[in-house]
Amino acid sequence: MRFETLRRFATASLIALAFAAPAAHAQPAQNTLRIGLTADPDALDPMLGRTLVGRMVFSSMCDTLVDYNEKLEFVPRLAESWQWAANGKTLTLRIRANAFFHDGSPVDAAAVKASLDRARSNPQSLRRSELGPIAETVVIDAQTLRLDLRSAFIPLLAQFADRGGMIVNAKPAEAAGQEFARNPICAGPYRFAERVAQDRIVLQRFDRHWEKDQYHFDRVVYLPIPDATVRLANVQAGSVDMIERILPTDLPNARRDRRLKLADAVELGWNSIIINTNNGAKADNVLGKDKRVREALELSLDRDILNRAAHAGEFVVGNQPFAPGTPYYAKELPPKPRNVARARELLREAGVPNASFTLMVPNDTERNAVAQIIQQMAREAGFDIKLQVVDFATSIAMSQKGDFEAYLLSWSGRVDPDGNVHTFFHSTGAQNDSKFVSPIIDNALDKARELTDPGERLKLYSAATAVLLDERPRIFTYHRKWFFAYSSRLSDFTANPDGMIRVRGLRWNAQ
Amino acid sequence: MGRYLLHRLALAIPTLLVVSIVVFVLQKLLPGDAATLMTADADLSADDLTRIRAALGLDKSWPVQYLVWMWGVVQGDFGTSLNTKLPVLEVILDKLPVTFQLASMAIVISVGIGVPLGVIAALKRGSAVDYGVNAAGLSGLSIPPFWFGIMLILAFSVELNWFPASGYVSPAEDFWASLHTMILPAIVLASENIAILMRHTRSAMLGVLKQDYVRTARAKGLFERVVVVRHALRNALIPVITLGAIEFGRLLGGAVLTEQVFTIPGFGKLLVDGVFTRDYPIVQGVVLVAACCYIALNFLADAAYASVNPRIRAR
Amino acid sequence: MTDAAIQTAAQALPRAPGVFARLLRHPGAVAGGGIALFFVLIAIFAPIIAPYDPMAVDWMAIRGGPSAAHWFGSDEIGRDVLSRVIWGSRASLLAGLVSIGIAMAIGVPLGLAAGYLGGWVDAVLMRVVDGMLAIPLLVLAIAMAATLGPSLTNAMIAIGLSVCPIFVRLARAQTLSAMAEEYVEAARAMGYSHLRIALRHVLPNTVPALLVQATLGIATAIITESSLSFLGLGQQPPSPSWGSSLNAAKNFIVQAPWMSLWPGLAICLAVFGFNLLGDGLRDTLDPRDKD
Repeated sequence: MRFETLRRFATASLIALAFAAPAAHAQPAQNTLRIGLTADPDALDPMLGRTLVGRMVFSSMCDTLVDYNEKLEFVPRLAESWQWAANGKTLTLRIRANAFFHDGSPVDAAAVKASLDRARSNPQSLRRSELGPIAETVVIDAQTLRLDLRSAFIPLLAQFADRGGMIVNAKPAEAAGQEFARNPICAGPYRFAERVAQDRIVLQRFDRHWEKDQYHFDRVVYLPIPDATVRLANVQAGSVDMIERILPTDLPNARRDRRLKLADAVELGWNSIIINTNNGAKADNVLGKDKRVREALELSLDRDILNRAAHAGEFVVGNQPFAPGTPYYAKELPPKPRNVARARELLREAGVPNASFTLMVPNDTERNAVAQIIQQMAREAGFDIKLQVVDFATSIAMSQKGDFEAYLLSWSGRVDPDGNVHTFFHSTGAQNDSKFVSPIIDNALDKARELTDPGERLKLYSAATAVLLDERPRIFTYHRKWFFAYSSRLSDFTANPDGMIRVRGLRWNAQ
Repeated sequence: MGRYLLHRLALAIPTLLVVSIVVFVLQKLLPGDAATLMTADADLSADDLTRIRAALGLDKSWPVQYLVWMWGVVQGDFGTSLNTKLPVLEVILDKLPVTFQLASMAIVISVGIGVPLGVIAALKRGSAVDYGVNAAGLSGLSIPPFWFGIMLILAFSVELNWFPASGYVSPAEDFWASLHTMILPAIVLASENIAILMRHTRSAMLGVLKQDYVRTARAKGLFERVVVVRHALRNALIPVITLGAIEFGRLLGGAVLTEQVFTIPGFGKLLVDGVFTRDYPIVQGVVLVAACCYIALNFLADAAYASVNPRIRAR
Repeated sequence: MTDAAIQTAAQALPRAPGVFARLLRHPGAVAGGGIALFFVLIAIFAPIIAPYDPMAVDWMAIRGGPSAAHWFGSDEIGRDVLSRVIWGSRASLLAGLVSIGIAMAIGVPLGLAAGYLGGWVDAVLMRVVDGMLAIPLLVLAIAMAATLGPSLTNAMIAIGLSVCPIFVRLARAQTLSAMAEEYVEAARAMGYSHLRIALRHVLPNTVPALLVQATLGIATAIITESSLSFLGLGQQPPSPSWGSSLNAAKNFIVQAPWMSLWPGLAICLAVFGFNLLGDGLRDTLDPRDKD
């Protein structure tokens, strides 16, 4: 290429770039809502979905049988009413008559049965255990479905508010196999339009939705933006309209910004240090064997400092599997304040003044900081903690095998308390990686599954919590808050403790 | 000539086999699999897991899994992502333009800066300008790309607000906005190549400037600029173009961290996420395609070189 | 590292007298050597130079800006950034030296064998090397580091194995050119054993090129280690390394820019030093550019 040509090309490019700048911030059509997610969702089939971000997309695309509001009270969706039998072993659902799948076929009792049966029997289904208590699905009439359970299982209703209750058109789903995730057919207010991996998921308004007047956008677009700071910058610049999960340390910046409104809610889940008390050879160490050492560890921690140092003091400290202020929190068992002297004493009593163990930490920046703060605080009581940082999938594989002494892990939470304890602390629980066994807990957790009365359930959960706090197969540290930021041109958004963005009722303010 | 090229082409096949086997074995050595990850957020019994592994074919032995995958690839089927259930080939074809655009912009920038700098350094060899240009090039080579990216975002997006901090706009949607969003990451990627292209232009120029025909041209009293452009640079560019092609091939698979920092949805992001979610069909597919591009560009570069330089054909 | 760079290094010729003296007259080499030496000294004397214990936390100084007490500011849990940059030089230099050591220890004998023996050994080795070179370096290193488990040692092994093919190729090319030399043919004619010829006559011939490549390789290895640490696959907390400091800093680019500025500058300077030195070595050992 001649120099002259080169020069002309360069000049042209520079001029073009100068003009291009405003185009990058062009205003989108008003009736599109763009939501920035923390990650690219996984498979868009409710039967296969496992991630929180995937659930976020489902919440606009796939109607559930029931839902719950911010106060965690159940509200009707596809099931307009439901009735438990007195013994809790039968649930009868009344399916609304005006619901349709995205392909136009009606959602009736037979369709709900077919969808539930698919999720209960498909070998790839992640919902089999969640829907496991269902023994039989019986169509009574076009709008009535009776579920016969193996034993009383009240938390089933909560499963119906999550992916277990998302009804898909089973016939095309069965025909498509795993291809169904490329073109899912649900019954939600928005239907699947397009997906470009790691770039965007586009949903289009479904005109035959039974509640379409509550949905005010023509399109909802989900954009994965993994970096938290970048995500915030995007909503500030107006390239997206709403984002989830702002970092606590970024909040001052977001709060100052008049273009934004914020919303938050305390999560249903928890953050904890899991201790291997009974799973294989690695349980055989001072921490796993002697509960005094575990008590010393908890007493060496100052949860407030942890919260302030790692999360700008924005999260909620807690010592139980339920956040303070939620219905199942045992008020009579509050966190004990830090007591380094007592911690040292306990270590001496246990004969290990310099108790040493390895804390496995999944590889991310925030948890790295948390782990290092824990390490430093425990050191003051005499602990020698080694940190072992591994990628997330490795940490789960190792945890299941019992290849850990202690493990820093969080749980995103479920609306029914059962979902936050049973699988983790019941001796048969699939995620009880400590293989911790307590007949008292087993009994309480099983019993609580059969009861509907919150007061009675609270007693049982408190009994289980008391054992957990004494034996400490886990040390609970804090509960995160879900922080959302959205354009001030949008109507007010109320955050739900499950961290989902429900588009229902949300609209652009009249200008 | 034809025999030489055919020979090179035949050598690509064992190379690609090695690539796919190395990557496959490495992934299988990682603890856990795609099914393990599913237990993190869903309540699954041991039976459920066994069933899921069987359904995904993860229960078979490694060699069988590899052969199943390979047999698919031979038939043009790259399999399905274990994580998103999207067809791997479709995902790769979605990402290829992104990565291709980024790599092209980076190469344009690095040639645009590296070649002139190399020419200047050659013309002024031994002078302070030569050393200065060399040091500047080397400093570009010395900056860790992810950190350079972070600093550019801090300066040009956060402080000056000239460029968007991240994201991707398809050129089909808005061509200029697309260039605008990609310019910072392209600069980051180019920083490394500028030094390499500069060095090679410099030594190629030095070689050519010694040649008889350049001396003749100079002796004929042609202006220095004409000599440089018409005679010297044209010949010196041949090895530089070759090198540019190879660098381009390398960029197609090598922009992992730059893409991460600027959240550009290209090959790099796909690969890293694939490794961490144990999505082996994705990783296998992307690495294979990236390696194919790399080998193809190497091959083209060599073929071009061989056509000008008959001595190579003899080997 | 690219094929072209390998070829350039490969063209370096055997040691000439007065190499060291010429090196000292090369401004780039002197500057680069000086920078490299500076970091080596910092790494050795870190306990004396660093104003604070790099692990000591100060809950009151979380993400504190530069001040009289903390010249470079403090990090996400209140540790002194300057002290961590100083101590971090140990991890980074070690990573650079050890991983290149590993790469050479494996790569050079293999390259020598491939070049000397030829035939099917050469063919097989070259296909494996081609294959590994076709996989992006960082992707290979990420997969290996994740497989071995994140730690500094494993990162060094992963980097060493990932850059090893470059040394195989280089050693092979050098061996081939040495074998064409008369003195090797003479040694053969004398009936010396293959091992003796390979080690005594061929290997020394490859040293200058390998030296250049190793110096440049250290620069690459330092960057790769910091990249792995940036992804959380290198040095583990709470021990400092430049890359892992950058990893911890990535959420605070705007609020606490000093957390990413200093470790990043340290990497740039150290890598620049080794690059300059390698470049100078190449100029000195490679007479092509000389008149």
